[in-house]
This record gives sequence, structure tokens and C-alpha cells, in this order.
Amino acid sequence: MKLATALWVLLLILTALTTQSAVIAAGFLVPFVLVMTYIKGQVVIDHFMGLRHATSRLRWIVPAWLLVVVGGIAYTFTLS
Amino acid sequence: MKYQSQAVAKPYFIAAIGLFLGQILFGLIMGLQYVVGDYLFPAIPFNVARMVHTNLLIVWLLFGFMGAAYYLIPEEAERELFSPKLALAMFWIFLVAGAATILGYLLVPYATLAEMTGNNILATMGREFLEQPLPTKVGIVIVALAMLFNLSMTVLKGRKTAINLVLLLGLWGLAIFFLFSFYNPANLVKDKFYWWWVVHLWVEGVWELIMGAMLAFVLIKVTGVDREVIEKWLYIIIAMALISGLIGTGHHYYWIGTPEYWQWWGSVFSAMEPIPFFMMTLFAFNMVNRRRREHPNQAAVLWALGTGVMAFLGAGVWGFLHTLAPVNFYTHGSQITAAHGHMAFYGAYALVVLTMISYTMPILRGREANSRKAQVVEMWAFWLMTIAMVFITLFLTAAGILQIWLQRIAAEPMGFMAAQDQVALFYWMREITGLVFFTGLVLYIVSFFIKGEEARAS
Amino acid sequence: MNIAATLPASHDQPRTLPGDLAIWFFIFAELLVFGVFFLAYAFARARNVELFDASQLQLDRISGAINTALLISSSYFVVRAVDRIRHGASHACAGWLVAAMTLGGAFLVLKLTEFAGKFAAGITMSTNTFFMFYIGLGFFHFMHVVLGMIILGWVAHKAWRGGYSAANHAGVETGASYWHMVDLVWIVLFPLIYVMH
Ligand code: HEM
Ligand code: HEM
Ligand SMILES: [Fe+2]
Repeated sequence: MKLATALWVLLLILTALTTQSAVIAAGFLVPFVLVMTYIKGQVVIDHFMGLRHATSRLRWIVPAWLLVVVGGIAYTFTLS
Repeated sequence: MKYQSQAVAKPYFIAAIGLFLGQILFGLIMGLQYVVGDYLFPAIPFNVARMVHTNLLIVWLLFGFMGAAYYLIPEEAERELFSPKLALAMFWIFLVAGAATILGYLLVPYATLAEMTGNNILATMGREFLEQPLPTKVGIVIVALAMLFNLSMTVLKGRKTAINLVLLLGLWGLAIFFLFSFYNPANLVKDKFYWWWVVHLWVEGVWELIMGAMLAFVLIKVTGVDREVIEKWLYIIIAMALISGLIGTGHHYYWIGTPEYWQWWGSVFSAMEPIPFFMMTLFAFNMVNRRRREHPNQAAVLWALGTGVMAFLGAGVWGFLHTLAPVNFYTHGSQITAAHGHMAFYGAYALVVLTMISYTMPILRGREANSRKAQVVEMWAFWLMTIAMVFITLFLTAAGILQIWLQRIAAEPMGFMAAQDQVALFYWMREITGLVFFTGLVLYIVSFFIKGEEARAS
Repeated sequence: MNIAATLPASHDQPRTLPGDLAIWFFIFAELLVFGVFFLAYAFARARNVELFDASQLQLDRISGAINTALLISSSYFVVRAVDRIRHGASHACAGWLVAAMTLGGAFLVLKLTEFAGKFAAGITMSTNTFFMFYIGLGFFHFMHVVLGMIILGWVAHKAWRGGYSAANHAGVETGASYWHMVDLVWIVLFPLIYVMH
């Protein structure tokens, strides 16, 4: 449970960073926020949902979803 | 037959098949009117034939659902039906009301029928599929409530399984959504809005529960696969159907005067609607592949697999074809819609009722399965009707594409009737294929009268 | 021929995803819907950047951030609940679940306040495409929080009455998985709609 607690704190910090990123990372807001989001999502998937230790053949689906969604969003921000 | 009261299903099924025959006859009449405009005029105008065709469809499917429920619920609940007498009384009421309504359509002009039946008290008539006069609508509600009472009491006192609960939920939903047919606002936008709450929420919502439950029931019986496995599938299918289907109603709100955001919501949610249908296909094949016994009624297995495939093609593939707003902008209300409507109704609901009939009728007639010979004829009927329906769909799709091109895309758009003339060839082919369908249906009815030695498990 | 002997029934295979397999299919379907909507938002935005950026300025980013913290924390509490039941501590498990639900409730209140503010300002789904997504997606997610809380409440109730044990607690994991999904979706939704421009 120590790990979970540490990760919880990490997630809260990343959330604060995301929120304040407009100030902290004015120039590269989008990549910064997307990386934060990806990390947060992956932490929840691996450790909260517990998919990291799952042995199912289906366990790749949620991480793949995250990758596709974050990747797709990143792509659209290169369009404009 | 495990319980005596299951026998009430039989008259329901017989009525369903009879009305099915009537539906197809009127389909053929209309198919001909499409190309020979004054055929049977003025005795049976197109709009009347259309109403009879679609209303008979709905009514025979309802007969089928009810019969199936009266058979299925006692078996799953492991007790006799709460009141077989009530079920039988409802059968006669429904049959008489149905017949009277159809006669009313055929014998009296629709406006006169409306006057005669109190449409001025509560205006409910005039909307596609829901054309029934007020007394008929009230009758449907009474019959449905009596059935729900009867079935719910049976389940309450008996064993509760995923299958009978899902079926009950679906039937309750069917009755509840039908209530929207009593609300017919003068505002045309609202009118359409609520109309879809009956039509769409039926076929892409609660009827899917009914279908899922009936398919699961037959699959358990003919494959012997564990109930637990089948129930899990059932739950997932139902969940998917409801998530996608409820908000998916939005795919009918694109151009009727509702806010623009429905183009997003309708498109995205209805794009998911094929998933439950696809899962039903997987479900059927998966269960049959895992079967633990060879059931002597191989015809029933064929109908069940056919339901899986055709429902996915008709609802899933042909539905998806025109469900995204940018596509529907062109296809709306064209022959593409008719193509989809035909294959989806046949593939999902006609076939699932026929699957139930195929499995239960031999049992209701005192044997586990029909003779080999009868089954072979029944399977021929399946293939003729199904292949005919595939071709009807393809011809209508071709007609639709051409129609859309000529009427809506071409540099110099044609008028509606001019475009219809250009695609008449496809309508002729549809009509000929319709005759093949009709042959299949006749064979199907013949198969009930073929005797021979009962087939045994291999 | 005895087919049964050659075909393994699926339910005696070891369970490999936490909780009931059925909930995972449900989760996949939900993620698919949300995923499609996120991408639809992103592409719609790319075609109308000024409108989206201007409209986004009207959102309360702090409220969104607090809501993120609430959901993340409640997710963490649910992790604790699962840990407790693995040690057979039914009441502690129920306690953590109730704590998680409390945060979920706070999320709902905050979200409603946010929506009320927008409606009071005359903003609706028809205002423009940005607000269509903001309100539509927000409301859709809102309903998922509600459903998640119902599931957690049911699990907590059963846990409190001793319905689960160290050996048998798939139900807790099932509810937990669903709740984490609700959290995961919000983790993407928040930066996408509130922050990135
Ligand atoms: C078994 C299930 C289904 C049945 C029985 C069915 C039947 C029908 C019928 C009869 C119509 C024509 C209604 C009218 O008179 O205007 C229709 C329209 C439509 N259906 Fe289905 N449908 C089913 C499933 C689906 C699915 C799964 C989708 C989407 C993926 C879909 C998409 C549509 C659309 C977009 C329309 C409107 C067409 C237009 O704009 O003209 N349907 N359906
Ligand atoms: C086999 C021969 C059949 C023929 C020739 C036929 C013909 C027709 C025609 C001409 C229409 C009217 C289309 C229009 O308004 O322009 C129609 C409508 C309809 N038919 Fe059939 N039909 C046949 C079989 C069936 C079957 C087997 C089903 C379902 C199980 C069915 C379900 C429907 C439905 C749902 C509509 C309304 C479609 C809509 O609103 O778009 N028909 N049919
Ligand atoms: Fe629909």
C-alpha cells in the first residue's frame, strides 16, 4: 500500500502541474500536458486498475486505448 | 413440453405464421405497384397496402414474442404459467382486434376509420407503424399488460434466471415505450421526436433484450452449453445494446428540427450499435462450436445461426452504412433506408421468432424434433427466404445509390418520380426476388405438414 | 462422442483480469465511446481553434482541477478498500468505499455548481460546438460517476454485511475496476477540455 499512496501523491502533483502548466510551460503547454496525462493514465491503469499484474490476453486494450487517445489528440494539435 | 401451460404458445405461433403470410402478400402487391402504378387501384391503394404490410409485420412479431414468452417463461421459472386461461383469452382478443383493424384499413378510407374510432377524442393515428385506431391501441396495451402480469407472477413465484429476467425487462420496455404512441403533439418536430421513442427504442433497444433472451434460451437447449457461460454473454450484449441504443436515437434527429448537437451524439452512439449485434453473431457461433450434444432438431440450430448472421448484416452493417450524419445527409429516406429496414427486421426479429418456433413447435406437438424429411424442407425454406432477402436488400441498395445520385448529387438533380423511373429495373428484380421469398415461406408452411419418423440425436 | 471432455468450459479457467470478466467488456465499450468523443473533440477543435480557445477561457479551471483531485483520491481509496478485503477486513473495506463515494458525491456537487453557473450565463449545448462537447461530455461522464457510485454503494453494503472474504471478493474488484475507469476517463477529459489550447 505504500506504493499506492506514493502514486496517489504523485497523481495529485501531476494534476496540480497540469492545471498550472499554462503558467509554468507557456511555450510548450500541449506536449507538457499530454505527457502528464499519459503518465497519470498509465499509473491508474497499471497500479489502480491492477492491469500490470493481470495475465489476461485482454490486458493490452486499456493501455492501447490511452495511447491511441493521447496520440490522436497530440496529432490534432499539430494540425493548427 | 415440461409444463402443460406452455401449450398456449401454439395458437400464438400459428397466428404469427398466418399473419406473416399476409404481410408478404401485401409486400408483393406493393412491389408490383412500384412498377405498375395502377395495379389494383382503386381497390388497394399503395398507402393502404403499405400500412397493412408494416402493421401485419409488427403484429405477427408481437404474436411471436408473446408465444415465445409463454413458452419460455414457465420453462425457465420451472413452474406452470400463472394463468393459462388469461393467456388464451388474450390471444383471442388480440387476434380479433388485429383482424378487425386490418379489415378496417382495407374496407374503409383511413380518414373515415379515424372518425369512426374516436381519433377526434385522442388523436393518435397517422404515424408509420403506429397507424392503429385508438381502440386497437388500447387493446394492445391491455393485452400487453395482461401478459406482463401473467408472466411476472410466474417469474415472481418461480426460479429467476438471467434469461427470464432479461426477457421480462424487454417485454416491459416494449409495453412502456408503446405508451408514447398515445402522445401525438401537433408540433411536427416533437411529433417525430416522440415517434422515434417508440420505433427506435423498440428495435434498437428493448427488442434487443427480447431477442437476446430468446436466442440464449434456444442456444442453451440445442447446444447444452453451460448456462453460466451463456448468461455472461447475455449480460454483456444487453449492456452494450442499452449504452449505444438509447442515445443512439439521435441518429433520427439530424434533420427534423432538433438542435444540431444531435448530429454528434446520434453519430457517435449509433456507430456503436453494431457491436451488440456483432456479439450476438459471435455468441451464436461460439455456443454452437462448444456444443456438448447434437440436438436432433438441426433446423433450429440453423435458424439460430442465421439470426446471428442476418441480424448483424441487416442492423449492424446496413445500419452503420447510413448512420453517420454526413452520410445520412444524402441517404435519408431513400431506398437505402428501405433496404436496411427490410434486412434488419427480417434478420433480427423475424428470424429470432422463427428460431423459437422451429425449436418449440415440434415439442408442442409432442416430439423432440421433426422428421428428417420435414427438417430438410424447413431448411430449404430458410435458405430460400434468407437468400431472397439478401438479394432484395442488394437490389434496393443499388436502387438507393442510383436514386441518391440522380436526385441529390448530380449536377442537374432529377425530380423524385423521374429518378424512380430510372431505377425501375431494380424494382422489377426486387419483385421477382420477392416471389422467391414467397416460395420459401410457402415451403416453410408445408414443412409443418410433412410426416415421417422423428429425428433422433446422432 | 463426448464433446464435453474435449471442450474446456470457460468458467473454470483462471480469472485473469481483476473482477468479473463481463465488467471488462462493459469497460471496453465505455472507453470506446469516450475515446471516440475525445478524438471528435480534438478534430473539431483543430478545425475551429479560435472559437474553442475563446470559449475555453470561460471555464473554471480550478473547479475542474479540484474535481480531478477528488476522483483520483477516491480511486485511491478504492484501492485501499480492495487491499482491506484481501486481508478479510470487511468493515474496513466498506469504510474505504464509503469514503470513496463521499468524494464522488463532492465531485457531483462541484460539477453541478459549474453547470448551474454556465446555464445561468445562458450557455447551452446549442451555444457552440465547444460548449456542446463541454456540456454533453461532462454530463455523460457525470452519469457515469452516478452509476459508479451506485455500484460502489451496492458493493459497500454487501461488504459491510460480510458478503465478501479474503478468498472470495471478485465483486469488490468488479466495482473497483469500473470506478477506476470513470477516473481514467476524467484524467483525459480534464486536460483536454479545460487546459489544452
Ligand atoms: C434490428 C434492428 C433494427 C431494425 C429492425 C431497424 C429498422 C429500421 C427501419 C424500419 C427504419 C426506417 C424507419 C422509417 O420508416 O423511417 C430504420 C431507419 C434507420 N436505421 Fe435502423 N433498424 C435496426 C437497427 C439499426 C442500427 C443498429 C443502426 C445503426 C447502426 C440503424 C440505423 C438506422 C438509421 C440511420 C435510420 C434512418 C434512415 C434514414 O435517415 O432514412 N438501424 N431502421
Ligand atoms: C418478400 C417480399 C417483400 C416485398 C416485395 C416488400 C415490399 C415492400 C415495399 C414496396 C415497401 C414500401 C417501401 C416504400 O414505402 O417505398 C415495404 C416496406 C417495408 N417492408 Fe417489405 N416487402 C417484402 C418483405 C418484407 C419482409 C420479409 C419484411 C420484414 C420482415 C418487410 C418489412 C418492411 C418494412 C419494415 C417496411 C417499412 C420500411 C421503411 O419504412 O423504410 N418486408 N416493403
Ligand atoms: Fe434507429
